[in-house]
Amino acid sequence: MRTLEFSSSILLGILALPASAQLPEPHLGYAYPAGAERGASARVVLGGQHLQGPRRVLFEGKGLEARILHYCKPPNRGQLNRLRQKIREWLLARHPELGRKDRRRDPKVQAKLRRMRANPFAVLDEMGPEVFKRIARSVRLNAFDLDDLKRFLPKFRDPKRQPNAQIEETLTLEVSVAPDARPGLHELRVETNRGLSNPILFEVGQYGESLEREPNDERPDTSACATLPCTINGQILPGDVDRFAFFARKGTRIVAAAQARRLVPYLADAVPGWFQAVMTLYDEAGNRIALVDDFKFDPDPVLSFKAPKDGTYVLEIRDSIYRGREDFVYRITIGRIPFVTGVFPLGGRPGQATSVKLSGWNLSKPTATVVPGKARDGRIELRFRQGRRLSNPIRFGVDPLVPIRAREPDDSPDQARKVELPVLIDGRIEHPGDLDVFRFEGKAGEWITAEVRARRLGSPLDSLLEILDARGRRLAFNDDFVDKGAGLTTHHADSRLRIRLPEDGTYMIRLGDAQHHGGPDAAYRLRIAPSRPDFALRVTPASLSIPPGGFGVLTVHALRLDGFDGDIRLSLLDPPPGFRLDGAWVPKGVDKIELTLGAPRKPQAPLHSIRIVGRAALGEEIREHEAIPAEDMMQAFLYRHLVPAEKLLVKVPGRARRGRTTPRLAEPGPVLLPLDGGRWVRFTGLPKANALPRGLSFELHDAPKGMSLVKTEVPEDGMLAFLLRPDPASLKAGTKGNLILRIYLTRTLNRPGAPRRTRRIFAGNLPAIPFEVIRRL
Amino acid sequence: MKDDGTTMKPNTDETLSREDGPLPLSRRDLLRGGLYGSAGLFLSGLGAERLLGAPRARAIAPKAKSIIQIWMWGGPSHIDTFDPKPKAGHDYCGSLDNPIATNVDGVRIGELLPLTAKHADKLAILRSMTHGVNGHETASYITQTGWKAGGRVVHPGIGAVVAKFKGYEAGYEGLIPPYIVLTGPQGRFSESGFLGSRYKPFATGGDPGRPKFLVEGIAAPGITLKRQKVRRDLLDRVNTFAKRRRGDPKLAEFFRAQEQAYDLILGDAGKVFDLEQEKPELRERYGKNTFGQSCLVARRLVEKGVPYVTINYRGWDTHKQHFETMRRKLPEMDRGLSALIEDLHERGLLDSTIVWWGGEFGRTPKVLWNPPWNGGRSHFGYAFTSVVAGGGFEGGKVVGATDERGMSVVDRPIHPRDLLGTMYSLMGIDPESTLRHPQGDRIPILPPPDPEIPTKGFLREIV
Amino acid sequence: MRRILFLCGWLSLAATSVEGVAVPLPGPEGGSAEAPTLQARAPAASRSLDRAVFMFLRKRGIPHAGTCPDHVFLRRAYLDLGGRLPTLEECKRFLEDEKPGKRAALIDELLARREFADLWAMRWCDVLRVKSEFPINLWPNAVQAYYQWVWTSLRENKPYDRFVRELLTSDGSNFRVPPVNFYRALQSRDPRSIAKAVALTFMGARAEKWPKGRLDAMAMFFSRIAYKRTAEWKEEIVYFDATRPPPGEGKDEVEPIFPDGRKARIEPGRDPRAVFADWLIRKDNPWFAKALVNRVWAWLFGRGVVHEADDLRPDNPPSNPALLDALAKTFTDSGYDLHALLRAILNSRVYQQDSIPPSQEAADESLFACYPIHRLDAEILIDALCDLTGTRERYSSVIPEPFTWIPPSLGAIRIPDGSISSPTLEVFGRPPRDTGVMSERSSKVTADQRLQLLNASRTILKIERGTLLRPILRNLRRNPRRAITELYLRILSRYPDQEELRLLDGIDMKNWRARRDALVDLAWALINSAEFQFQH
Repeated sequence: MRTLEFSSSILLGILALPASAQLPEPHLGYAYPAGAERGASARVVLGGQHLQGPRRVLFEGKGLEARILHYCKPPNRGQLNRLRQKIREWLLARHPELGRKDRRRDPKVQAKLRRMRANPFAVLDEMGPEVFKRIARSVRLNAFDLDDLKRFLPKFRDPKRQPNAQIEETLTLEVSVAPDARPGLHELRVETNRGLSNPILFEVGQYGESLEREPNDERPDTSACATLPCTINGQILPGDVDRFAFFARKGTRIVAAAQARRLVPYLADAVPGWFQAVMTLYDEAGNRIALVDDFKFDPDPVLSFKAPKDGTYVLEIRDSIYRGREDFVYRITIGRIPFVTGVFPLGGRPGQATSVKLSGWNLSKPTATVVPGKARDGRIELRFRQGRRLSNPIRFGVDPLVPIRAREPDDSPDQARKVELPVLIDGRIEHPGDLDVFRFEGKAGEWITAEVRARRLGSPLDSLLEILDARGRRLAFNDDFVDKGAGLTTHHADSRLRIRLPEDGTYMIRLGDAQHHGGPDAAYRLRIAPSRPDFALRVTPASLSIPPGGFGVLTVHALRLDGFDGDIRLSLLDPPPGFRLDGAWVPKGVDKIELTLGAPRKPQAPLHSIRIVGRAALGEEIREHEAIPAEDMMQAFLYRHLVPAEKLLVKVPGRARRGRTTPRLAEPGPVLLPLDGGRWVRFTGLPKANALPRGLSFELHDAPKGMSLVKTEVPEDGMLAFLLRPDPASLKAGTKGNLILRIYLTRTLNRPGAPRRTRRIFAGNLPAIPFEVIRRL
Repeated sequence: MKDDGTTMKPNTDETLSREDGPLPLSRRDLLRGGLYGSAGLFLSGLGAERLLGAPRARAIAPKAKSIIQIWMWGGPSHIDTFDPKPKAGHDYCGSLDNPIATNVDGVRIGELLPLTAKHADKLAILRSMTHGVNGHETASYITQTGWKAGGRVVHPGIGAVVAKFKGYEAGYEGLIPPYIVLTGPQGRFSESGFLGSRYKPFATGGDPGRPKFLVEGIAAPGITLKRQKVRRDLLDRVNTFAKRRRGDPKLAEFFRAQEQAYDLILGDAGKVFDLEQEKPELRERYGKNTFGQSCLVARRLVEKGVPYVTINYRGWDTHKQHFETMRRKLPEMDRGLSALIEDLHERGLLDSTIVWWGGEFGRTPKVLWNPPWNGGRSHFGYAFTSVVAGGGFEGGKVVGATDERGMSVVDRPIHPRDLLGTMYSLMGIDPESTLRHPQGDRIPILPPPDPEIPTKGFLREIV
Repeated sequence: MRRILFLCGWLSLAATSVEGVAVPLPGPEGGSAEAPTLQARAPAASRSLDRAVFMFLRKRGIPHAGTCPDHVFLRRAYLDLGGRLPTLEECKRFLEDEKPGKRAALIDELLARREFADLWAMRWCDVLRVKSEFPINLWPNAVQAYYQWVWTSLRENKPYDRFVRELLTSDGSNFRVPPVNFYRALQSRDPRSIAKAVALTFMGARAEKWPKGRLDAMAMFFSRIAYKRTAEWKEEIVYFDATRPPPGEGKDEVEPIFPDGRKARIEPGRDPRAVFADWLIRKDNPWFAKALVNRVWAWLFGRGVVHEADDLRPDNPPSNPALLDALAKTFTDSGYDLHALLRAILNSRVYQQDSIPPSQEAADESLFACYPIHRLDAEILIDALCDLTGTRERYSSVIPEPFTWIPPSLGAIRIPDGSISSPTLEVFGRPPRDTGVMSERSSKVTADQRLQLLNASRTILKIERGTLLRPILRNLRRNPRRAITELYLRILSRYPDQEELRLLDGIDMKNWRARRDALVDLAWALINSAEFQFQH
């Protein structure tokens, strides 16, 4: 495809037209194995799309580096057929007798054909990598060598394997982990010539690691967990069942904790929307001892058993409905490992020591003291030291209020415990049907908010919150309150309710379990306080590639709480030089908005960490919150989730750009668009309309229904500007938001022989235009 | 195939969010503003008709003896086939943006259907099919039974109803069962519903595209006629168990079924599936692939008087790589369909045989360019196209229309029950007739009109 | 009068079907099976069933068949409790075992095996409508969780009353608390439909035929069930909505009344489903035990004591009321122990009768004067064919994404999902699991079925290429009779009689192809014989 040149320098500034900018950014699907032992190194394969031209692998947290060994892009259907044809031609050239008419009757030829069919690898070895490389080049396969073909042969022949472009390209790495690296999940991204990939997860393990060896469907793999405790890495392909044999001594408490959904939380095109693992345990005679397909409400199963007698046991893992794909990756940590099933209380105060009671298996100390640090969205992840080892990660709440403990009996209104607002209560729903009731005094017209944090802190409680008046009549109740910020939680079981007290007097808050369950694990943190309008921010995507001088689109999600409905001003927090935000606001009544991040024309470094902060006036006080970077992941074709990431990284690929100015809105502040005919929007630093190359066009990206771009050339002075008109039929005055104009280039490609086809190439964005629809100017 | 069975109401927050292209219009939108605004008169007219008790519309005269159903499994894209929208722009047509003329002036169809374009004078293109259901199996159910899913009763499909009214109970004596499916049943949509296994289709299995089309059970590889007879005698000598229980009704039924089976194996009834009896150039015209040869088998079955034949044509659920699949499959479909119409016409069978081409729904006109779809189309039950020919349907006609992007029906909406009712009438089956449910009550074969999609009833204008 | 015409109808018909071959007179059971070994004294429960049947027959002067020979009992017990044919070794071990109590011992051994849970989980999943697709829409992940719960309950022999109580009163997620799927495996979820499903499943009653008002009153117990979705694909929480007033107090609600007419008192906050469940599982409940024992009897004999096994109503009385009462009493006395009920039935002489009717009157199936033969279930037949020939069927589903590929070793019986099937299974009558009615599973014989086994390439290839014939072919030439005996033991689980041993006499043993074809034809004939395809 010819590269596209442009003369005028200003245009170069705007348009993101180096060849790399046209093709989509790199996308990562999975890593296998999805982790390595601390102080060791491992060969890891990453699966994804558009990974050509890999430069380096970036890890969050210190102690992890990776060396890129090999990039492979397998053939598509057409290339595969042409490749097969070329290999057949080479084979006939080497063994002419195979092509003879009477070959069917000649037993010698038949024997050779049978041998070849039985062992195709032998034929390939005879060919040798050089010859194969030449053949592959001839069908334009320049990242596919002989070993790749051997690795992919079983996939091409297996009718169960479905083609899946998102995870077909692979990148082989050598990952080495420092001995002092933090155990747990780290974010991994790949930087290529074209841009920066999305983050995926890679775990630093504490135990010896092993890789499953197929076939292990019928006869269990005996070497994978020869010595316990260990961590097994595996991959479930269609209809695949993995079995591992291990020895356990009588009376030892063996725990097998699987990570599958935790490694790849959401799959866009899979139903169910992740690898739903099921683990089964068999004794020596093949009788089933246990089957688990979850742990409390978490889809990743945890199996625990006390070995009845010395012997070899078999652990089996598979997908709950026998699906499989390359990104169905799992890690099972098995052995006499410390595993915390629950903690009480569920949280503490920042910087203050809190003693917590631990429940679980193989715990040397049943209690621990926690000094929680600063939390990003009200919770942190803790691991408890048990002897030499660290336990599994536990979510722990952080709240400045001094907590008090609920004390039974507090089931009925007359037993209700009197509390002073604001109050934070740590309690439990002890048994099914248990209710905890708390009394407080309130004044007429006062806004009160009661919120439960349990499911978001790992408790299985499905809270049901009610507020009663003095006579016990129910004023309001809430069962499930959707918290879009809790990205990995799929059942928003925690309740939250907000009410304006009708009159002075006594009120009661009653908490129970909607599913009538209960027990020592069903802990909760109940916060009752005067309402305090507030907001939180998420910004997606967590990785962005913007050409020098170009503009990338970011989406900011505002999670508005307790009636806060005002404007939020956005700005960059000590940004690297040359970066700027356009359309930097989340206006009143808008929860999700797209804005643009402008990259400098001469970037100092290829990679930058960008931080965005939002400010809003709440009453008299200005409150500030930093936007947490997140990935907007789709689950099962339908649901969308904001999964938090550590950092928002921006890559500025390509050479620095000449030219002085980048385009900017002629007049600052929201552009007022009248309903009777719209208005011309001008940018400084844009050429005349006639200076644009042929086939260049502008389009509104995801504009609200009814907003249209009418013309792009001002009749009077021929300048490049944009007539934006809101349609009164579907847009009302007062509607606010951002408009983003995208630049497209239509090129007709007439390659010899191929039919004439026009290609439309995305060529960049213009700075976001904040707007407000008004009745008339 | 990924959607759930329930109808996806586009307006709830569970639907595809904005990034995936504008929301498909919900029925409320259709009612409030878009579609029926212009048909306002129509609406009141309909009301008046019910008020004044207009005379029962004239009955449709029966003309057809058989139906060949080409089931486009997965839902073909309507704007890439028979309802092209060239002016909708790249985001809607992708690379298939110059439709071709047909031998009926003013009628244009997709550019990948040149052969079918030569027979548009025999086709009636129904461009305003709508039922608003986006799940595969619920859409297959409503398109082939007329009923919405979720009721207490599982209704039989048109194939089973035709097999009941035109099968063995109505004087059909052929050894070949009255309801044949080439080559595999649809599985998820239980064709016979509450009628039970007696009216399930006979799935031929095998692959007509291969040199020897072996119908499971009728033609066995490598077993000569002589050996079949030797085996039959051996079977009789071995059956000492049955001889000791002579008179047991279950064993009587067992042997009756065995006799019928042997009539098919040894008799010449099975020859209808032997494609070697057809001229090679005719087989070539149909296209030497599974679909093409299935169309040829369907014609031979209809020639023998089989009342209902379904060709289950897989592979149209193109969520990904939509345009590559269209370029690969549409020519194959084009060749098979046009050859079937032409062959039936030449043999004078077209007037007595309905050919019904269609899928369970259309596909979203707006292309989903973002990953993981990379140029795919999702499901779209609000507006799609079916095509009928022969059996009393007038050719060269287009019924109904969709808006300039194929997103909603703007003229003469057709509910699946209207098409089914017309075909029942043409086959001489009274659309008001009822069937006995095993648990007692009588169930009509067609539902009452759907109040949410007021249509003009059966397709009288093209019969 | 109607019966006699009915009988003549048989005779004329049967005579014509097997023409041209000398028909040996119905003498004592052929084959080398010796007289039935001395029966160890049957347990008391079995004797009460025998008394109920044989006294009933003696009063009507109808003879009953004698006890069946060992090989018939062996095959019958393996198929009823394990859903599979005995292997060659198991055949030999049992037939050559001399101990008098060997039948009872076999019953206990089969009850303790994994295959018992596999087969009976399949049967229960037919009744509970465990199906992922339309019209039930449980969806795949809930189906596998529900199936595992049913399987584990049967494997641990959970008392039936606790099994039903958990199904009726559980709260929670359809993935995490599987029994709640009972309230999702329905075609519609209004209280009346739920009540109808409860009546059909646990009371064997067709509630739509009940007198007016009884169903509405019973529906009140199921009017406080709430469903709520989560953000996980197809997860749904089913729970008792305690925030609403007790049933009967809501707007235009009738008062909750048990189907036997007694009023129910439900305090606020008490789950009405639990109140109904406590009434249902009482020993003196007129429906509960009878419905279960009648259903189990139908699964074992192909026909219930009440015909249409799940249609118990006054105007459809049991053919032998004493038998139904004896069964129900046995079951409740054992504390709703399914294994005890099965042990009682299988050890009874009624169950161990031969399947050849001693007279025309005794041939009437409703009398149980002999064991009524009935065709094997689709899954059992196809799995038997696969096990015999050492081949595997591949079952998959295009509902989930990526597709489901059931491992071949699982077989048809252990497929959890009613939506996963194959054209062959459907031709042999695998139930669609739409309504949970017993008559959904068809055991009729049709021409399609005979075509599949007689001439389908799949069957022919299984026999020719499978592992069945390879060991037998090796020493066929040296000792054809031993080969025939091994074939009979594997396929029909019995020794061939003298005449059958001479089946391969006319074959030219020296010619390899003739020898091989003869063996293939014999195996094919045995598989296509009625003796293989019927439970007898």
